[in-house]
Amino acid sequence: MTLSQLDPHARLDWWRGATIYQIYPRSFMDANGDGIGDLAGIIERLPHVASLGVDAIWLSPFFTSPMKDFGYDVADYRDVDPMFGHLEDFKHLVSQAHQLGLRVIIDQVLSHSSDQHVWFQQSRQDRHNAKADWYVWADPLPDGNPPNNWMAAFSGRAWSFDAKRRQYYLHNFLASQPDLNFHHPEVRQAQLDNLRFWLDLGVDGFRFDVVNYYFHDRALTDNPAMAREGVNPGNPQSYQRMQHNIEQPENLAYLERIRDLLDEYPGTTSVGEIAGNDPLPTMAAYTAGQRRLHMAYTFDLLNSDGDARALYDVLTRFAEQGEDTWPCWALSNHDVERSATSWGESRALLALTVLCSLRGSLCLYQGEELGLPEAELAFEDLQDPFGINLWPEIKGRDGCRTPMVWDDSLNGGFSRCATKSGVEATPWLPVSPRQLPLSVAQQENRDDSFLSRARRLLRYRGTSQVLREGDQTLIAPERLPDNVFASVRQHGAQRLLCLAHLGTGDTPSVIDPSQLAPDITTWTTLEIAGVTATHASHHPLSLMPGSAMWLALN
Amino acid sequence: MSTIRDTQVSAHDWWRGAVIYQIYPRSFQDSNGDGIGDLPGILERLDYIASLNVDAIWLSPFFTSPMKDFGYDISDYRDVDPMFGTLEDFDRLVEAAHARGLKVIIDQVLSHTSDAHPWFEESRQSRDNPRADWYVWADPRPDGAPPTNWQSIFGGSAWQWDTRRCQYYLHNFLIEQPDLNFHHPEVVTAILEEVRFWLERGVDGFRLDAINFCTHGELKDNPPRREIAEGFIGVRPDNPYGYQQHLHDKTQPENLAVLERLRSLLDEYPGTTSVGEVGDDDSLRVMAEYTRGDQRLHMAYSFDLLTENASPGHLLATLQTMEAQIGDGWPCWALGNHDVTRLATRWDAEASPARLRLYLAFLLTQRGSVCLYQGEELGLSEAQLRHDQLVDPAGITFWPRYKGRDGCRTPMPWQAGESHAGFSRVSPWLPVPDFHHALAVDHQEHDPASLLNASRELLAFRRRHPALSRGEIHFHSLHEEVICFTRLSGGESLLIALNFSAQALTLETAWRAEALEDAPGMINGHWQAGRLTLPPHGVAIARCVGEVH
Repeated sequence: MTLSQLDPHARLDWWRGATIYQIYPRSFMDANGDGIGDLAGIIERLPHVASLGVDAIWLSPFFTSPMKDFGYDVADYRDVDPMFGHLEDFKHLVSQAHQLGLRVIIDQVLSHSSDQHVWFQQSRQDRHNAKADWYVWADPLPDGNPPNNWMAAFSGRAWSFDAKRRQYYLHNFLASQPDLNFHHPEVRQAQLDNLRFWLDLGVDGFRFDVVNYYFHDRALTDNPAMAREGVNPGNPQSYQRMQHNIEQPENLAYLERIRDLLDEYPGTTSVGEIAGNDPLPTMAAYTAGQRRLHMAYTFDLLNSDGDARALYDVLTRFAEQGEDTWPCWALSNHDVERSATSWGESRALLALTVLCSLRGSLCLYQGEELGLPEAELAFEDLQDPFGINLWPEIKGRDGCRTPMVWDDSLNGGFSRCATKSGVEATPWLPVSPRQLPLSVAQQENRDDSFLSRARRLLRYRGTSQVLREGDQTLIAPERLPDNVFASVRQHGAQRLLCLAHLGTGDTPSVIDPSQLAPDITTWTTLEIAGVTATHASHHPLSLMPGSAMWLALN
Repeated sequence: MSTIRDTQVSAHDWWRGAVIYQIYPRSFQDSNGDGIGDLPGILERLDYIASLNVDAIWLSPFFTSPMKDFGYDISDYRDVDPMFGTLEDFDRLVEAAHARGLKVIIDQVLSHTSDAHPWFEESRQSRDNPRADWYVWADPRPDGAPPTNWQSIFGGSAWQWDTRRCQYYLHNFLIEQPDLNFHHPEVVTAILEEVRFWLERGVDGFRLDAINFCTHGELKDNPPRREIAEGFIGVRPDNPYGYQQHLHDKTQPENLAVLERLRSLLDEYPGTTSVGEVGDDDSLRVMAEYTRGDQRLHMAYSFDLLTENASPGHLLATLQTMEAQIGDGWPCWALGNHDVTRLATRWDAEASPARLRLYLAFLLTQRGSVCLYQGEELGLSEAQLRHDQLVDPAGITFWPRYKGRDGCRTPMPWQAGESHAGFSRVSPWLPVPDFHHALAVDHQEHDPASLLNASRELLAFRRRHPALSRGEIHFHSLHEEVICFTRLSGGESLLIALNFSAQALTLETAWRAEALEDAPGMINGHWQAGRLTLPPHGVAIARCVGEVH
């Protein structure tokens, strides 16, 4: 049963403003000593997650998979890959999480399957079988080339030739990740049935991988070339605007069918991942009203390096899309460089403070609560095909996927069990030596540690109605000193001014809160994460670069 | 019809009409027990090769390589890969071969290197390093797509993206086999120095891999073909490579100048030879063009007899087309090699000793030189491997329509009673099929009727009769399932008739022919007066008495 079913007093819209802790199962905790994290390991570490004051966990894929894209290539939507455990482990995990008051959100990768999925195995046999059109097949051009110019995310064409059908199939990612054909009604229904399987097991929601990739343009129109300034020179896919391979209008109706299904299980939620050339309007459209997704996220903040102006621009642009929408913001996840590195390690806590001040729900990526920087890996250590294909200009995603550091023991406590031969297992990616001093055990009992501060911050956010549900008024950079990011959160009579100085140097900026919003006369500086002492004031403030202040406005 | 050509055997001319035994080193003999054949293993087996009555050996690549394409991806042209031995092993092998009267031809893969070659590693660093233009680099189209529609023979676009240069590089074969840019004078000079290295070590010649791929043309799209035809290796209707007319990606006119520079180098070492591999839409024309005169290649071979088509009509048409075009050029014929399904299987002769003998007689009576692939003398058929046993990237890509080249590359069976048929003490890199044990060398050695002994006899016969190796050829129309021709040299005129049908035939001919005293035992057809009698899949070779026509 979902947590809402278990607890009749629970709010059905618990997800609004919630903080979701993302777990990458391969790298969280290895209970069976094979060097790869597993569900039993996650269960063991759930108390740590609960201690952060977060509302839910999001589990990256743990389904049966050949792991060409580390589980984002699903071969059986209804089972647990043996490397991670069994369905019984998963049921146990859900029940343990619920007992700790944590909701469970699982990843669903509906847009494409693994080429090892029985659907694709059947589809590729010939052009006439029952699942012949379950994937996107097209004849070669007369010169043998793919049917159009679409490019794949991991370099190369988005089409691979199949010798048996003598046709190309579409894959927006790896060749081993064929795209399902959502124009086919049976495909749409089959994926809904897979979702129901997990809802019946008591999950509280889904994170939908590339939720805007489900439908393609059936006419297979060429994508237009991108204007030069929009191009990442190292990645050929970025040379074109992804106008026809993804994000077709038919998707909205399908999102409504997904929502209808979720609404049969009150208290469940959904968060869609949106990638593309102009994702913010899509994010708004996909979360508008009560009929589509509950929440969505884009890469706009994930790719941020903590520039105040850029933050303001992204958030303003999203706010302009309409009020009836709900974002889920994140600075880190399993696809991007860790925020402690992209923002700078000295600003890691500042980054978390900014994140906690935003209107919307939040995703926190495992290790973000420890201030972990990106791991440096050698080419030989790489596992991610994205990095292997596009090295060295793009180093891939392994640097944010190294194992969680729990303590000072071997492998940072990630994988402590000896194998049968008595030899310690080598983790699938090396534990970063630079991260070891930041392990949970190292930080746990120090009140001034990053972890302790993060915990206070997250708990404050988790219990603050104004932060969870309040409106947000972004203050234009023109009205602020350089590099200061500021917004006013408001819920009823409650108002909170959130300030963050994203600049560098030793010179404080002077800010007069009464100049930033109407009706501000006095304020109280809140002591949350050891930023500053609590005192009431009506004088201008002095804000040091790299610091933040939250002020309750009177 | 061609004129009578010089039939004088000079020492420098040894290659003309010679029989070259192809050795695939990975699979010939493992001497160090690592499951992979090696140069000392070949040395151990040289007496066997000499006993076949062949003239030369051709060694497939044994150079330093990451082995993505099993040695056809070279990372150091001047060294032996440790898996195969050392340069000293090679020197010993050459010496021992020469002592047995065997010439040594080695493979040279000049068209492309491995991506691990220092030249490529330097070239990909930037757009302005000293070797920046040693490979074929091009900007993407505005939409990020590759610069042309060219396809790789092994599947996918012939262009691979490189993130450092933000450009594509050309690879006609695997991504790990970037094509060298032969338009760059320094490349030609450098590659010829690599060739010279081996000439200095005493080799007698080169087999030149994909020689018509060295020079690429303008970066323009190839037009589509009207019909999707089979041709070069792996080029089938289920490979997009076969959908194009290859106008721009290979066989460019500038390649002739490369061949001429190569020949000039070879001519500094008299008595050396060259045989080029040609895979083209019109390979026979290119073979003729590449071997014309004495300034280009000595010999060339194509895949025209390496297809599935064993009909006498197709074979005859190929031979006649070649003969009509070859002029003073010189072909090299093969019915099997390391790139195609083994002859016995491809031409459906697995259960037919008569057919195996017919095909052998067909091959060894042709005008031209001949390549005989290891195991062909044993009648080895294709090994049937499971997908999980495959190692050839081409087969892995195009499975199950095209199973790749592993089935013709399994180890030589030497001893029927030994594990791994005496190839190795350990499990080899590809398994020896069970049914190959019965065909092992030691099993056939003592059976006078074996294919092995028939091969030896026929090879000796060809060697004794220059008319077979070098003489003119005149084709005769006798019966739709019989290929019949005369071979003429000096005073000798031989009539050959090959029955491709499963029926015994008795045909009246206009010629008087008489039996040869030294005819091999496998010759089972007869001419009596003008009457030709051929058993099913039978062969007749006789001396022509008087004028033909």
